[in-house]
Amino acid sequence: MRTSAIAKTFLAASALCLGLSAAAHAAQPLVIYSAIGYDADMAKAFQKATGIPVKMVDMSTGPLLARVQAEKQNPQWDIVWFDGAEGMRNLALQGLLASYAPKVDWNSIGRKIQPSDHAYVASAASLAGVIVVNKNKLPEADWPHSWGDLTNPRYRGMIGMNNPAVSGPTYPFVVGQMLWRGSEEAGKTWYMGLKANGLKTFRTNGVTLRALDHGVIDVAMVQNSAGIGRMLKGMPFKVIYPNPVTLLPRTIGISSHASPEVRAEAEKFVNFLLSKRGQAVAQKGDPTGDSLYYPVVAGTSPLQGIPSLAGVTVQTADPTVWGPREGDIDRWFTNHIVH
Amino acid sequence: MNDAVLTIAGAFKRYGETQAVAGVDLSLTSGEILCLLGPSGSGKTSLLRLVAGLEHLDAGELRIGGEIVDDARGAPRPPERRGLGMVFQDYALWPHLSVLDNVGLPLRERGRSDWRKAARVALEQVGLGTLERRHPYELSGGQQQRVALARAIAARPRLLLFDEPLSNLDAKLRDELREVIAHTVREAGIAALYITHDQSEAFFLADRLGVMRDGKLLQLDQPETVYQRPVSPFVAHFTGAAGPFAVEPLENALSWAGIVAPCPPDAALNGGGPAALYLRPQWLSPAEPGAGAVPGVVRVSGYAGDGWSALVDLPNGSIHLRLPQRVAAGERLHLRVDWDKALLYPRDHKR
Amino acid sequence: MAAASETLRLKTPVSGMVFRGLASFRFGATWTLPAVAVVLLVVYPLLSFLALAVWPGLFGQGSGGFSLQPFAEALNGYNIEALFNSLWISLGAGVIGTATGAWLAWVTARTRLPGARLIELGIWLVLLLPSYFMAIGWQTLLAPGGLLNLPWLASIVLGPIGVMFVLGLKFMPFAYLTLVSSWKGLPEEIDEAGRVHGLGGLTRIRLALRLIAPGLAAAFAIVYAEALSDFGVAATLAAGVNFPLATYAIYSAISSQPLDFPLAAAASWLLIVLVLPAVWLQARINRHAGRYSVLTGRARPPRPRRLRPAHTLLHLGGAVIFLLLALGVPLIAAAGLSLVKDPNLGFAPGNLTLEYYARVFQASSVFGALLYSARMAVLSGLAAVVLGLALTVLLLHRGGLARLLDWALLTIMALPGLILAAGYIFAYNQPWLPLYGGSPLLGMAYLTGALPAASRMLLGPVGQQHRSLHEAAQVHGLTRWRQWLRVRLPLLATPLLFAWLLTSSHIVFELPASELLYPPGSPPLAVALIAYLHGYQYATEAALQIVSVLIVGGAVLLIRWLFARLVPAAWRRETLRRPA
Repeated sequence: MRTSAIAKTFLAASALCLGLSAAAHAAQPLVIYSAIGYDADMAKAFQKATGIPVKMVDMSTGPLLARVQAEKQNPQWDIVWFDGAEGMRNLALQGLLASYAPKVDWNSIGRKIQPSDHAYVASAASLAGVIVVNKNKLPEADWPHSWGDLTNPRYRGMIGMNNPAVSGPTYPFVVGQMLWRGSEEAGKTWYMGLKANGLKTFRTNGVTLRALDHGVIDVAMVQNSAGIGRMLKGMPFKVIYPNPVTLLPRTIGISSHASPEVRAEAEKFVNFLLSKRGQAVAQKGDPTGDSLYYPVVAGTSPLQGIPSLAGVTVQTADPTVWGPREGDIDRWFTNHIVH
Repeated sequence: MNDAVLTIAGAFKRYGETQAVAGVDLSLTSGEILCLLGPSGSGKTSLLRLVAGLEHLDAGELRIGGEIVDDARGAPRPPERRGLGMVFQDYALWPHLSVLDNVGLPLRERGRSDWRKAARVALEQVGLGTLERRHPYELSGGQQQRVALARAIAARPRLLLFDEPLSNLDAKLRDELREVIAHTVREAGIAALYITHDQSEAFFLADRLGVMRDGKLLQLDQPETVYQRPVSPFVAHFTGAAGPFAVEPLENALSWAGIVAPCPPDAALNGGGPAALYLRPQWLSPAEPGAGAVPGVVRVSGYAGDGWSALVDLPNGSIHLRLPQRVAAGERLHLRVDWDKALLYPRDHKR
Repeated sequence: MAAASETLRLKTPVSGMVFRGLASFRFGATWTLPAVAVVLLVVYPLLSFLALAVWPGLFGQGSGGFSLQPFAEALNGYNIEALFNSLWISLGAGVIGTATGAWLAWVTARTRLPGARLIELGIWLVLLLPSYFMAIGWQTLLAPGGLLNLPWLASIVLGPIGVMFVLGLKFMPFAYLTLVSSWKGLPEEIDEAGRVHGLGGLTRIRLALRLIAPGLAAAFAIVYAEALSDFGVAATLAAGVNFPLATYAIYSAISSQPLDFPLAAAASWLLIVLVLPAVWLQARINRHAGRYSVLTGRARPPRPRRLRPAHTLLHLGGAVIFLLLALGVPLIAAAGLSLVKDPNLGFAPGNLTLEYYARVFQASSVFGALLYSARMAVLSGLAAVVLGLALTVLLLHRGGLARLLDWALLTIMALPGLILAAGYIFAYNQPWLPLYGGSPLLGMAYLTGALPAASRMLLGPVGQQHRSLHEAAQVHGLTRWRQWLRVRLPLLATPLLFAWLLTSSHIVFELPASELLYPPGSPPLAVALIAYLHGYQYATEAALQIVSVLIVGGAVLLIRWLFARLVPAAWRRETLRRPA
C-alpha cells in the first residue's frame, strides 16, 4: 500500500519529466545564463527580432558561476553573461567557451577590453570603483579628488567601501589599486593606510550607498553605475572620477558545447546585443542600474549622467594574471581590512 | 478433533532471548470458552497473538477450523483472512468512526450488504442499541468495551479472542461485563479463547481453564478440577490457594509445626520427603482449641459486609480468611482444617 | 521437562529458522521502494558531491585522483574559523530555540492563557517566513541609517549574538512542535503528585523537564541542525558583519574565483561531522525512553490550567515580545520599506505610497514565478509527505537500518540546500541520467530538502498511534491497504495536512536549490525576489515579499478552514487517546 503509493508518485514524476524534456527538445531555444539587469528585455527584443526562442536563467553572479562550474561536464547553457573578466577567463581556461570575434566597430574602450584570443566578448564596461560623496554632509571644498586624498586624516572614519569577498565588482577595484601602485604589496599598504584612517566596510554597493545616504559615512568607494543610479533616484550624491579608474568589463561567452546551429544563434545574439537596436534596449532596460554603462561600440554614447572619460586614465586588470589570485586577495582583505 | 475450532500443536515462539511460548498443545471445540490464566510474562498474550496471526510461529502448527493457518514453514495466513473476532485490552476502537461504523466496518470488509442490520443486532446483544451514532470518546470505558465486544461478534466469526478485556475496568464494571461476555458468547455459540490474569474471571467464564507459566501450559482442565486438584504448587497458588506451609509427612499423618494432622488421602508424596501444604480459605473454619486445631494469630482484620476479612498468621505462613465475627489484631484463634481437600506437594516440586 | 526447555533456549527448531528467512525476505520487500527513493534522492547525489573532497578530479572539476588536499585547505584559517563559529552559534541557537519552544509549548498546551491560538498562529508564521526575511528585516531596521536609530542595539544584533538569536528564533517552531506533544503527553498526575508531596516549584519544573527530556533532546537536535545548515542568515546578517559561518564559507568556495568544488565538499564533510553529536545525543536519550508511546494508558490527558493574573501578564508579555522579535521585525521592516516613498521620513501621511505594490502586480513575470513556485510547492510537498510517511513508518522499526535512515535524514537537515543542489547537478546532469534542467529534478530537490522536517513532524503522531488500532483492523478482516485507508490515514489526517502545509509553504520561498536547479525560462519566486535585490529595488522586493507572504498565508488559512469544514470532526481530534 504505502509502497505502491510511492511507486505512483515516482511514475507521475517521471511521466512529468518525460513530457517536459520532450517539449524542451522540440523548440531548440537559446539558453542564456545571465546576471545582467536588462537581460530579460534583451532576450525579449531578440526573440521578437529573430524568432529564436530564448530561455533565461537569471541570478546573481556568484550562484551563476557555481551553476556553470557544476555543469562543466555537460553544460546546459549556450550563452553566459555577467560582469567581470576573471570568471569568464576561468571558463575559457577550462575550455568551456567557443571563441567568437564579432565584426563590429569597437570604440576605444571596446578595443581596450576585448580579449586578444576572442575567447569571449566584452559587451559593455563600467568603472569598478569611483568616489561618491554625500553633498549634504560634505561641502564641495572638502571633496576628495584623488585616491591619495583618502588617507588624509581629514577623512578619518568617514570612508566606506564594499568587501570584495562578498561583492563581485569590488575585486577589480581592489586589484586596480595594486596595478596602479605597481605591486600587490603597494596596494595592500594603501588599504592598510585606509584602514588606519577608519575605513568602514559593507557588504555590497547597495548597503554602502545606503550608509552614505544616511550619513554613516560621507565618502564611498563604489561601482560608478551604482552611484549614478542613486543620484538619478534623487539622492544627494556626487560622483567623482579620480585618476586612474579601473574598467569592469561586462563579458558574454558562447558555450563550446553548443551545436553548430545553436552556436550560430548565439553569435546572432551577441551581434544583436552590440547593434544599435540592442544597445537601445540595453540602455532602457535597467535605467538606474546596469543600463548606466560605457558602450564599447562606436556610434553609441553613454546615457546622460555618465561623464566622458577623456582626461581620466583608464586601466584594465589582466584576468589571466589577477583571476587566479582572487581567492587569496579576497581572503587577505577580509582578514586585514574588514576585521 | 473433527469439530475442533482451534488446534495448537507444539507451538514455539521466541523473542530475542526470551522463549515466550515453549511447546503448547491445546484444542478448542465449537461453542467452548477456554480461559488461559497466567501471570504477566507467562506467554498467554503471545499465544493469543499467534492465534490472531499478529505474530508467527517459530515451530509447531496452528489450525483454525481444521485448516492450517501457520505451520512455521510456509507463509502464515494473515490475520485478516483467519475469520476472527477479537476484543483488546485497551478496546482499540477506531476513534474516528461512530459506534455503528466501528461495529459495521469488519462486516463491510467481508462484503455484507446488510452490515447495518447485523451491526445493530450485535449492538442490541451487548445492550447498546441506542448509542450507535456516538463516537468512542463519548462513551464510558464499560460502554467502549461493549462496543468492542459487539464488533468482535458482529460478523459471527469462527473464533473469538479476548485479550484481558476487563483489566482496564473497575471492579463493579468488571463483574457486570463478564456476565455480558459470558451471556453474549454463549448465546452466539462461538468458541472463544480468553486470556486473563484474574482467576475469578477465568473460573467464572471458562468451560475449560488453562494455567500458563514460562511459555508452558501447566494444566488444562475444567475449572472445578483446576480448583480442587491443581497439578502443581504454582497452579494452586495462582488460583488462590494460600501456602506453602512447610509440613513433614509422618506415617499416615502430617506434622505441621508440631500439630499432627491426618494425611490427605491421595497426597502425591512419594518417598515421604519434606512437603508443602496449600490451603484454600474456605477449607478452614474457627474451632475450639483441641486436637488437630491449628493455632493462628490475627495480624490485621476489617469488616467485609458478610463478615470480617482477616489476615491470619499460621505456623510457617499466613492466610486470608473470612470470619463470621469481629476479631482484633493480635487475637489468637484456632482453626479446623478440612484435611480431605488440603493440597500437598513435595517441597522440591519444580513448578 | 526442565531439560527440554534448556535445549530450546539454545536452539530454534529448523522449521522456525526457515520461516525466519522468509520473514526477513518480506521485511526486505517493505524496505525496497523507500530505500530506492532514499538512494536516488539523497545518497547518490550527496555522495556524488562529497566524493569530490577526496577525489577532486571527479566530474571534470579539479585534477588528479585520490587526494586529501581539499581537507587540508578546509582546515585552514578562514574555513576552520567559519566552522567553529557555526558550531558555537548553532549550539547557542539550539539552546535559545529549545528554551523558547519549551516555554511557548507549555503555555499553549498546558495553560489557558488568553490568545494562545494567536501565539500558535504566530509560530506557524515564523515557520513560514524564510530565514533571510528575518535577517534582512533586522538589517533594514538596525543597519546604519535603518528605520531604528539605536546604535547600541545595532552593535549587539548586527553581530554574532544577533545571528545566534535570529537563528534560535527562526528555528524555534521546530522545537515548539516537538515539545507540544511532549507536554500533552505528560500526565497531570505527575505534577499533582509533586505538589501533594510538597515539592517546590523549581523541583517540579525540573522533574517535568526530566520527563520530557527525550522531547527536549529531539528539539535541540533539530534546532541545532537547522541552524547549522541555514544559509539565509549566514549570507545576509552574518556576512553583512563579516562574521563567517560554515555554510557561507562553503558558498564562497563555489561562487567566488577560483571556484573550488573539492574544497566545498571537504568543508561539507566537516559540517556533517558537526551534526553527528546532535544525532548521537538524541539516539542516546531515546534509548532510555519510550518516546513515541503514550506515557500511560490510564493517565488523564492534561487539563489546561488557569494562571494567576500576574503570571498571565508575565507569559503574555513574553509571548508578545517573542512575536514582535520574530515576526514583527521582518514584517514591519518590509512594510516600512515597501509602503513609504522616502524611508527617511517614516510613516508620515504624505509619505505613504502603494506604488511598489502596483509594480509587483504589473510585472506579469513575477506572478508567473509565484504561480510556478506554488505549483512546485504543492506537488513536491505532497510527495514529501507521502515519502516522509513511508520513511516514518520505517524509522519506527527497531534496528540498524532504521538508525541509518535517521542519520541520513539528519544529514540532509544539516547540509545547506546549496550543497544538495550542487550534488543534484553532478548526479543528474549525466548523458545517461539527463534529469537536470527540468522541473522534476527541482521538485526532487525540494522534496528531499523537505523530507527530514516532514518525517520528523509525522514521527510523533505515527508513533503514538496505538498499535492495537490497526491490529484490531487486521484481525477483523481489513487488508493492509484497507487498514491504511480506513483506519490509519484518517487518524493521521491532521498531522499529514500540517506537514503538507508546512513543507509546501517552505518550498514556495526556497532559495538555494531554486537558483541552482531551476529550469531555464521558469524562475521560481525566490529567484524573482533576489533579482529585485540584485537590481537594488529594495522597496519592490519588500512589496513582493509582503504580497507573497499574504498569498501563501491566505492559502494556508483557507486550506485549514476547508479542512475544518469538510473533514469529519472525529478525524480531527487531536488526542486520540481514550478518556480514562
